[in-house]
Amino acid sequence: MAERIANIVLLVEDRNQENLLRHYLQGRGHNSRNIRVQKITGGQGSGEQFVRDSYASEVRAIRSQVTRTKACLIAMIDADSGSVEDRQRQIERALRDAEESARGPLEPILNLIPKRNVETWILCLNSLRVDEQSDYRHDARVSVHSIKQAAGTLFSWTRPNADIPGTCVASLRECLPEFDRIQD
Amino acid sequence: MLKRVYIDNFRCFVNFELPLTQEQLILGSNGTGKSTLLDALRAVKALVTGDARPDELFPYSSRTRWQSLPQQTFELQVDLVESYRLRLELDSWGSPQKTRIKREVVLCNERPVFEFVNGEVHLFNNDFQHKVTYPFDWFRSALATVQPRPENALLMKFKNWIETLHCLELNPHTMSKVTEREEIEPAPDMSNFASWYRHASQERADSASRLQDDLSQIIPGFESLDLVLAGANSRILEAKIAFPSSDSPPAGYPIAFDELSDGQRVLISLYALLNFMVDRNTCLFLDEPENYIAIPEIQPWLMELQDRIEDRGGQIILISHHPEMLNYLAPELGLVFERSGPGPVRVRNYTPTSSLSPSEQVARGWSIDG
Repeated sequence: MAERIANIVLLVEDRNQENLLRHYLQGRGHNSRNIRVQKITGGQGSGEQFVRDSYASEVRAIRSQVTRTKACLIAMIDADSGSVEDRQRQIERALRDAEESARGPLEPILNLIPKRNVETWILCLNSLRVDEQSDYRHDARVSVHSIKQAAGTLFSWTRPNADIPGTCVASLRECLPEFDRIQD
Repeated sequence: MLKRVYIDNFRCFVNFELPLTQEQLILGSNGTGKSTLLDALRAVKALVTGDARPDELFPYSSRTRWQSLPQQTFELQVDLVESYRLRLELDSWGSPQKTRIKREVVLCNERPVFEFVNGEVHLFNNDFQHKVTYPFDWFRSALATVQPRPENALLMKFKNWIETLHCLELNPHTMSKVTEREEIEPAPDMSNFASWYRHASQERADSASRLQDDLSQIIPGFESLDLVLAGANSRILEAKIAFPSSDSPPAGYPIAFDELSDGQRVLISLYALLNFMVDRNTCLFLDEPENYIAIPEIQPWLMELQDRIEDRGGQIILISHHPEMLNYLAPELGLVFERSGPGPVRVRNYTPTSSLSPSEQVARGWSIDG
């Protein structure tokens, strides 16, 4: 049997986040065999709490793995009704509490924080006009097809010299440089 | 898509309702009826496709032991743009008693397109107009004998769907490398994998090519899956595998299908199912597909499965005890089968009851509390 090495770990809240990132990574040439998904599996509170609670241990695991092979952690956590900065501070604090050092500028650890939630990004990436205050979690326009479409757009927006349209929401625009941390 | 299954008075199923969506994971302790569900669906399919008679498929012993009701009832509700409902009512008659069909009905949008009631068949046209009545043998499926005609297209749509219902439990030990002929239907244990692959790869060259691509990522050095001539009609299924060498270009050499490991045979079968069977109208029940395969192979297969369903449609119902499957699928797609002692099976959506993962919850036996 081929040794499957999952060198990209997705730490996500739910299936929509997983699918956006998986399809994005497929666009970058990765396949399901080198992606491992860690998402909420039950009653560990809300999805964002699961990501926060798991973040430090996943960072520690990636840091130990990186010394042996190329590995990358992509953590996605919705800002929800709070700010992106608050969420960023929360996961930084989780690292400090676990006595892990802060993320280095080139470290293959991505913190993706959609505001208000990933569905906002999905609709935005489908060229729909959205704001970051409304809750689009149950928006009927979010579907398996629109997620795939969004992943394709995200791929083009994270390429060098991409022309990002003015309709791009701030949280997504600010996160785009994070994708440079992925070492394909 | 199969939307609902109803079973009454069949082994551990009493007045049992099972609502289904496009993807589902069925979990539950041993003896909660998960595999019995597949037995029931296989039997219903075999009956209405004419593969076997009611008394072979539903003997008296298949009735629920702790009650003494004579009638067994089965319903399948299927959405194929129109909403179809097959209802089967069976009872026993004669001496010695034999199982007979009391009622066999297909409704389309709740209007009859076929009825076989008390030994009389009623055929309806596509406008639901009653056209023909004739007597028929109570001990056979009349539905199985209806031939396609322009005026019964609505009924044939349902009959065609039921051909695409498959209930499989892969067993690598029974999979043969030899095929004597093409076979359209996979056997329940996929023992005829070589014959089924022989047919499927002829019919769908694009899927065969995609399967070879998948396998090249999974099996190191995999080059191809070939059917090699071994007689007038016989073929032997072989995988061609090359071991990379620093000295020379790798040269593939054949390994007969039954010489591959159990896990490799199951993986090849699972990826073959993904490529040939996950399709628009297909409804596939897979009992413990993760048996024999290594843990790192499970999640990638599930991801591929999800992607294929998104791309091509189809319906898949998985049955599993494996922590990888439970943790990945149960929160969104889990259906729990439960029984109180030897009583009837009940079903409920999986709901997390604690801070534990689904697999840990099941391992502790706490899922019953939900």
